[in-house]
Amino acid sequence: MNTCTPATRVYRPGTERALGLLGGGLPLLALALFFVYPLLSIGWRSFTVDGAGGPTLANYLRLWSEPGIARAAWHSLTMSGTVTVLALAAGLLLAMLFKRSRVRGRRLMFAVLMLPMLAPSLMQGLGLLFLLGRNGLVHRWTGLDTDIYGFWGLVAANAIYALPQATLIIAAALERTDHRHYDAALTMGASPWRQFLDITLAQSRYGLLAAVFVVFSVTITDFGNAIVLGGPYRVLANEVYDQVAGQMDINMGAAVGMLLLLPALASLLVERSALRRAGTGSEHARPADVRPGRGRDLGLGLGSVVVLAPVLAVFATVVYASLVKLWPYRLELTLAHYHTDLPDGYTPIFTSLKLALLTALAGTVLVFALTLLVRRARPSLARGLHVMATLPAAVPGLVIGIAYLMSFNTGPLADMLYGSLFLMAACNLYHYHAQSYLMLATGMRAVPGALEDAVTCLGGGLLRRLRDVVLPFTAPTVASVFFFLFMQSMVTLSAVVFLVTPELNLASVAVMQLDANGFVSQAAAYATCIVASVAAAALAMRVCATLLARHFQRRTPDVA
Amino acid sequence: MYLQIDNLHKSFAGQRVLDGIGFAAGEHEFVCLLGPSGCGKTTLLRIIAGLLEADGGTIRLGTRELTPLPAQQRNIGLVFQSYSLFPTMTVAQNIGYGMRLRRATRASIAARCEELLALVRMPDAAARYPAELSGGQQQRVALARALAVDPGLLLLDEPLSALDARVREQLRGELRQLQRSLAIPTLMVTHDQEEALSMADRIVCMNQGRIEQIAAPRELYLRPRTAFVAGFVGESNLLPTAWIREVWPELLVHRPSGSDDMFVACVRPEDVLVRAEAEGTARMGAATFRGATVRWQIEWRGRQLLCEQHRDTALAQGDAVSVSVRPDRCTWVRA
Ligand SMILES: Nc1ncnc2c1ncn2[C@@H]1O[C@H](COP(=O)(O)OP(=O)(O)OP(=O)(O)O)[C@@H](O)[C@H]1O
Ligand SMILES: [Mg+2]
Repeated sequence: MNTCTPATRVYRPGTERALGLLGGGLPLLALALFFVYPLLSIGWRSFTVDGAGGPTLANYLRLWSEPGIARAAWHSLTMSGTVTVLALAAGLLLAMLFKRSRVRGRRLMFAVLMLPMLAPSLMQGLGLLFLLGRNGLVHRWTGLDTDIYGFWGLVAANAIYALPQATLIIAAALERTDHRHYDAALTMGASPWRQFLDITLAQSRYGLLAAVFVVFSVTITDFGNAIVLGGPYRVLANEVYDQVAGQMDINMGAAVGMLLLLPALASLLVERSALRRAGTGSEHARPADVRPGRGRDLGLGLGSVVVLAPVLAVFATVVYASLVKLWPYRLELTLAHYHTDLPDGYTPIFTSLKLALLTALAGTVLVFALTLLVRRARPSLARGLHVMATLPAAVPGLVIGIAYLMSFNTGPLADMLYGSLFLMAACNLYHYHAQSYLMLATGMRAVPGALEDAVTCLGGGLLRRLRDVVLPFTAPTVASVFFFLFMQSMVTLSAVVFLVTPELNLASVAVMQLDANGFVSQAAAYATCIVASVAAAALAMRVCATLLARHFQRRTPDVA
Repeated sequence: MYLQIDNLHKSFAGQRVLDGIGFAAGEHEFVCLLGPSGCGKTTLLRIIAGLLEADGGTIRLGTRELTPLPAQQRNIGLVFQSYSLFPTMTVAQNIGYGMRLRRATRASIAARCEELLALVRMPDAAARYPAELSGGQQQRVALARALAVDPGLLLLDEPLSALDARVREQLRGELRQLQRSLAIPTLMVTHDQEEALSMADRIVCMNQGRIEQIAAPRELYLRPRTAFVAGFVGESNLLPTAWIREVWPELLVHRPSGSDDMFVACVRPEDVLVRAEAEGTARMGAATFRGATVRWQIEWRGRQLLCEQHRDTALAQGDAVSVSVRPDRCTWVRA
């Protein structure tokens, strides 16, 4: 120890070092500039009042005193609570259908379930309006006085929107339940109902908990449905939007935004600790066999049809309404609504496509570089980066949008960035950063470190390692992340709505504008175009990921 | 010496993993790094390969100072326990990989590939994919890939431990033969003492980041220097000085001077001599059948002794026996 010779620094080739610096520095710089900086700005702005100097609690005090905001908060809570209960029950039913039944036509049902993920969240709002609005189909057919604006309309739209996410989370939890529990229960003579209570529910309780939090925070931070359907029933999202877009009181908007951060942040924390306690399950867990059961299948099948019928109805109605002359009075088919009255026509759709492509490309590269960095970093640094990379999950789109508005429409970077596609791409990327990062980090675990070391010893540098080891092993995940970012960019509204300019409009915002101006049929046509392009992308993703996975799996050595 | 390692240190987060490692290896030598799990063998190998930076110390290979060179320029062949072939490349592409990086011509790569495949006894496997090979075959290909670039040193990190017993046995022999015929200096990590004893020219025995002993296999087994080596390499009876003084004072003649708890006597089970004797004060205990031999527990003077006998020995549990050890079969080791 006392005679320890000092370490000789290993010499690395210049290009290798430059690449390493670039690959590590770029994602960190981007994360700092486009996530940390805006978030700190919005935090800071919520403590300031225009004109006055130092930090103040005035905005937060006004939150209390303004009756509108307190009421909106209460509305948000009750509405989200109701949605959570409904979506959880329906999600459990559907998850049981997909994982624990032999009902035929499950693929079709799954496709229907996924519809809300392909569309801007306005789509549910429009569909419900066409069906249950004052002049909706139901009113026409039955003469009943229907009114969809308000609490129940919001609940219905948000429940439909949250349903696929709830189902996927619960289904994943069901899949993790070890079949041995059921085998043991069977040998002890437990009835199916007891098995459901004691094993299915008990074993997937953390999955259910995670679903509760995801549904709740997705709903309370939702923007699209609140704008279209909220009507007199105002929720926090309405308040934020009005403070910022209507009254131009950005500081106040920031304060309400910070309020929206709370439930998401709390849910993220609880979810994390719950997941940690849940662990990753047994290493050798094998999903339970699905035994034949007519009664069970009948019950689950009927229940699922009841749950999914409205979803299908809503989406089909939007498409149908976009194709008829005058909904719901003159139902002759026409393509007239596809000639939009928007001054810039279909340019927003192409802008959206461009944006989605840019987001997906740049986002995949940046997130990929970040996961590589985390993989190579020493444990303490890696943990910190991991937290930073997943933190965006707690920040609702509305808050990101306002934060961007504040940070980039004035100030030093405004000239360069404001109103650019680039800024919107950054906004979308950091809106969906956590999910993309987690997907890639999981994929990265499959990369064998030994093979990377082998390349190094044989004389290969960083690029060689990437090309010959990391990419072949992560290709299917990289493809999924690319398409995930692409699809989300196509449909998202809540963050980018604050960044669009008359010159640079986006498709989902165009739908909102058409709807707000009363061109509901044209809004439907526009939304249908979005769904079509996203569905095409989703299909491409399926094919691409399957091909990559197949190419890759055929040649995987099976040595343990 | 050809490979010269001096005073290597490495800590992970303040925890010492390598502590003053130094040893040397000759130009054609096969050296085994033997030690229990977690003692730092892989860390040492990765430092030699340049995949990890040491906190201090030097490594020389031939006339070259390796320490400041990045791994890519050290020209060292490395074979891992498993999972280190490119799954999307054929066997031939795998083997030719290092040569392609060195911009060798197609013809020379193909020729070298064929030569190496013959050497590892897989002449027909060139066009196959790793997934179509057995574990043993995959390791042969990994070896061929490491050898393809004429490395100045071959590093093997438990290359056989993922294989089943029979294949492992066979590959041990082939690997050793290959190393002899190529005369390439080789450092192999293993935690399997049998593997080390049967393959190595010399064994470096490690424990908790330090070298316990460096010796040829025979020497290591017959003359262990520390209680750790005596216990880790083969089995042994480790007997305290006070007990020996009371029971077998004649064994004390070779004992180095030092306080009672500085040294213990190491007696291998096969060196414990047992004679059936009605008035013997030792008692035969439980027996474990091991095929060619039987391992007995003997109870004597308050201690359990291990003793190995040919399986035909006509002894039974409970028999009274007398026990002795030849003085030259007792090694005194540091406690
Ligand atoms: N990257 C690392 N960071 C922190 N600690 C490490 C790291 N690599 C190894 N260690 C620690 O260093 C010690 C030695 O590890 P090493 O892998 O060299 O052991 P080994 O002798 O090869 O063991 P095995 O026979 O199990 O392969 C262990 O305690 C291990 O936990
Ligand atoms: Mg090891």
